Amino acid sequence: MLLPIIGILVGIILGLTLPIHIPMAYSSYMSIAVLAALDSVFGGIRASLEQKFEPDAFISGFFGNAFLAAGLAYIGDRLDVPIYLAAIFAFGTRLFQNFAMIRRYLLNRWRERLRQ
Amino acid sequence: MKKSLSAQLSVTLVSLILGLALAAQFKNVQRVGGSVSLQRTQELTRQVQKLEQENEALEARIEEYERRIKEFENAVQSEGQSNKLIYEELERTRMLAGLVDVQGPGVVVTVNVKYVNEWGQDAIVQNVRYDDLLKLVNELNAAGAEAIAINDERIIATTEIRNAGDYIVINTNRYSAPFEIKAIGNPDTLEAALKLLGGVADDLGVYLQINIKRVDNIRIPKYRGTFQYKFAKPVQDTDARS
Repeated sequence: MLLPIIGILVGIILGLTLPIHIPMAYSSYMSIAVLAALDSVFGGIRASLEQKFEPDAFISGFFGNAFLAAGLAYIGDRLDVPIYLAAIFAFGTRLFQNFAMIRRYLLNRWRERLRQ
Repeated sequence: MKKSLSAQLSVTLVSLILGLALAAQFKNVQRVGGSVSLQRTQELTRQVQKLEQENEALEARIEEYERRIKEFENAVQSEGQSNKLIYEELERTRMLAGLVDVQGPGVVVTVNVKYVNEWGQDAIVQNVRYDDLLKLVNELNAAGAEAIAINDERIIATTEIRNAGDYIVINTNRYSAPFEIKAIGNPDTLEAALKLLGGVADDLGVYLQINIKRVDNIRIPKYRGTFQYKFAKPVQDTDARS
C-alpha cells in the first residue's frame, strides 16, 4: 500500500519539476490519461483486496484502456463529435463502482475486527 | 511473495504515470489560466464570421457605388469637349487622391521581424512598430514616390499608421508582420534614398529584416475606404483671405 502512494508523489514531483508542457489542445487527452490511470489504480486496489490481483492483466488493462480512450478521443476530434466523453463516462462510472467495492470490503473487515 | 512484489511494482508504475499526468495537467491549467470553454470559442468564432460577412457586404457596396460614379462620369464625358476637359482634370485629381489603381516602375520593400538564436530558442529581436513603417513611407515620399501602398493599403492623405495591440492599423484594417511596401517612382532614386549610408534601411536593419527590390512594373490598388467631410468646407470667397 505504501509503494503506490510513493509512486504518485514521485510522479507529481517529477511532473512539476520537469519542463513538460502539454498544449491546451490536448487537454481532453490528458483528462482521459488521468482517468485511465485513476481507474486502473482503483481497480488494482480492489483486486488486491479481493486477492484476485494479476499484474499482467492490470498493466495490459491500463495501457489498453488508455490507448482505446485516446484513439476514441482522436476520432472524436476529427469528426467534431465529443466521443471522449464516452471514455470519461465509462472510466468515471467504474471508478465509483470500484471505490464502492473497496469501501464495503474495508467496512466488512473493520466490523469483523470489532466483533472479535 | 514474488507475485506480490510484481503486483506492487505494477501498481506503483501506474501511480507514477497518474502523478505525472496530474502534475502536467495542473501546470498546464496554471499556465494558461484554465480552458476557454468550447461554447465561448464557438460564440467568438461565430461573431468573427458574422463581422467578416458584413465587411464583405460593405466592400461590395463600395464597389457598386464606385461603378455608379464611373457611369455618371462616362455619361458626362460623352456630352462634349468642355466636359472632356473636366473629366481629365477629375481623373488626374482622383489619381492624386489615390482613388484609381496605378502601375509603373518602382521598388518593393519587405519588412519582417528578425530572429536571433538565444540559448537554443529563436527569439524575435523586436516587433515591427508603426514608426518603422512611417519612416519608410516618409523617406519614399521624400524621394518622389508617386503612389505607395503597404500590404495593398493605399497610403493617402488621411491614412493612419498606428499600433493597436499586436497589430498595426492601416486604413482601419489590421496587419502584422511581414509588411510589403510598394512604391511607384524612379526605382534608382527610391532605392538610393532608402539605402543611403546611415539612412532608414541601415537604421531599421539593426532590428528588422529589410529587403529592397526594384521592380519594372508594380500595380498599386486604389484606396478602398470612403471619404466624409463633416467639418472642413472649401473657402468660397477668395477676397476673405487675409
